[in-house]
This record gives sequence, structure tokens and C-alpha cells, in this order.
Amino acid sequence: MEKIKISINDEIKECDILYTFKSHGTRNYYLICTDNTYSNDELNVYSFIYYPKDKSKGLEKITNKEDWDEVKEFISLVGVTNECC
Amino acid sequence: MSVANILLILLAAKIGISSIKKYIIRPQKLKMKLIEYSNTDMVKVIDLPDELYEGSDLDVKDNEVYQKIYEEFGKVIEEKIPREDLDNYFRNFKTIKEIKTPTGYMLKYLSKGQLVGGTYNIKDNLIDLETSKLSKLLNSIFHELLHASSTRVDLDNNVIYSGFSQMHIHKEDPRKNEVYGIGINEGVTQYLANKLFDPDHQLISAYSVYQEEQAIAKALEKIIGEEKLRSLYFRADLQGLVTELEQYATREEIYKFINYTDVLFYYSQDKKLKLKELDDAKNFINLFLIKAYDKSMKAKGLEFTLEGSWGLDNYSLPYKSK
Repeated sequence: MEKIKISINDEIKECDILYTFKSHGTRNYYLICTDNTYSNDELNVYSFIYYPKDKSKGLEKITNKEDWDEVKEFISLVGVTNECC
Repeated sequence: MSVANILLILLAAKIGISSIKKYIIRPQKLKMKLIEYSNTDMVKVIDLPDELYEGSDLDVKDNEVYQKIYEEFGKVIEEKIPREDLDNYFRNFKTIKEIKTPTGYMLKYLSKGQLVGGTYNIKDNLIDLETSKLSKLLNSIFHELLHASSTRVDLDNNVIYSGFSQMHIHKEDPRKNEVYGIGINEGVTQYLANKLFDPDHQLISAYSVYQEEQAIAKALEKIIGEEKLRSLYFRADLQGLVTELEQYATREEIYKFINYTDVLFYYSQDKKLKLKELDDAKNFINLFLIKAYDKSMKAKGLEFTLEGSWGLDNYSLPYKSK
């Protein structure tokens, strides 16, 4: 399983990459990962914009509403995928 | 080939298979809480794996998921349909240029669920999927690939034959194009998409698409047989269907039946028809199918039996099942 290391509130965590996807709406690629912690039975996940063809750009933090909305929409859909599997 | 197999193929995408497997045995729906870090200093990325940058481009044309679906479609069709019925398939499907989604998500995972529209672009031999929901894609892809596999163009006479539909092209004014048989064609296409690619009924939404037209397709299959229906469909032979049905009804009745299935189709797309016209269409269709079925059974020396409900509404049958 692919992992990335991120620092959350100055605490370094190794997170599992759950999904990567591209949105044709925003034209961005997104990555969703989890530190495997839970809040009220919900798995905490983090999302970033990433550049699959350019590792030097790293991950970009999401700062605008449009990107957040895209990720939320995606998450609302893939929950079904996991269920049917 | 079941949808379960397709889903397993999808899960074989490079990133995520093990992470999804981790949750595959969870009895409950995976709930995720997205942490929206308003303070961007809260989260910093330290290290990224090289694997994140490997694998196929996420654009549709090279997307490995679509490629696998495409391959599975071909495998099923060549397995289930006789070679002599597949001229249109080999000409179109094998050379299909791309599956295009003008909006929406392109990724390595698909989920079942909602409806989506799509069109098979005959001129450019590509499939346009209108979707903004990734979960809508799977069923639509099979539906549109079936259209691609059952289409031929008669340039000399300006006619496009697609499954059981015919479109007469008006060269000067496309608004004057005439389409005939679209209701039966959409019903048979969806019916075959479900039967060939989702025999275990996992794509629930697929059964709510073109429901009435699917009921008609199922009835036609009972009347002329599965093999004949598929053969005529893939050969894009509406006239062949008419000839086949002439064993059980007059040509006039058959043309009226086809017209009324188009009425049903257009009503489902744009509900402007008066209810009386819709009722007339449904009643005629029901009666036509039942009478044809009765005659087809008698021709085989069989008794008339009705398995389950395959009429359109709860039509009062003239016969009792035996």
C-alpha cells in the first residue's frame, strides 16, 4: 500500500493513499489519504491536489471552495463503491 | 462475466487495491470525514512515493480501467454472439476511437449507481458520455458499446441502421431527419446490456432505465427467441424483425406496434403527450405482444403460459395461464 508522510499539526504521520482521481470540472488531480484515525466512527481523510506527471511539484494544499466541493462529491460516491465490494 | 468481475478488475488499478481491500470486508458502509484544513500550515507533506507517478495517464483514452472494460466487453460479445452476426461489431467496435467524457471524473475506480446519458457518435466512431458522476459510467459504457457494435451506415441512401432503429438523414436540414424504431432499439440495447454484462443484477440503476422499453424487449425475446433477437439486433436488421413478426401479426399491426413503442420512448424523454395517447399506445402494445406470443406458442405446439409480469401495465389478459 502506498503511503505518504505528512505533518498534521506538527505531528508526523504516515498516511495510506486511498484514492487518486482527476476531475474534468476543475481539471485538477486529487489525492485522498488517511491517517487511519477516526472521528465518531468516520475515517479521517485528507485531500490534496497533485501533479501525476511532475513529482517536483509535490502535493498542493486545497485552498478554494471549488476544489473542496469536488473532493466532497467524490467521497460521497466512492463510499458506495466500498460498500458494494 | 459478472459485474463482480468487472469490479475486481477495477480494483486491480495500481493505486488503491490494497487500501480498498483493507475495507472490503467491513460490514458497514465506509464513512469518511474529510478534514478541511482551513489553516494550510496545519498540514505539510513530507514524502511522496514514486509509485504515485507511475502507471497510465488518467486521461480517458489511456485509462487502464476503460481499457479493461473495453476488453471485457469484446470478450463477452465474441463469446455469446455468433461470428456471422458480428460484421458491424468488428467494423465499429474494434476501431472505436475513444470514450469521451466532457465533464466528470476520470479515475481508476468506478462505482455502480446512478443514471447517465450518452451517445454513440456514428460519424466519428466515438462514445460521448454526459456525466458529472463517476458512479454513472459503468452501465452507460456497455449500453453505448452495444450501439457501436450494431450500427451500419448506408451512404448511398442516407440511412443509418442501428440495432432496431433506422434514421433517414435529410442532407440539407438535419431537423428533418426521421427516426423509426428508436423505442424498441433502446429497450433491446438496455435489455442486452443488463443480460450480457450484469446477470447478477448488481447494477440496480440499469433496470430502472428504459423500463417499459425493456419489458417490450423481453416480450419480443419470448416471441421470436433469444438467438433470433440478438442476431437481428447485431445485424441492425429492423426489416428482418418485421419479417419475423409477420408470422404472428399483419405488417400493418407491426408498423403500428413499432410506432407506438417510439411514442413511449419520446414520452419518457419529454412528458408532453396527453395521457390518453399514452394509454392508447400502451394498450395496443400490450395486446400486440400477447397475441403474437400466443400465436408463437401455438405454432410450436405449446400451451400459452405467462411467467411473471412482462406486460407494460397490469393489463387484463384475455387468457388464463396454464
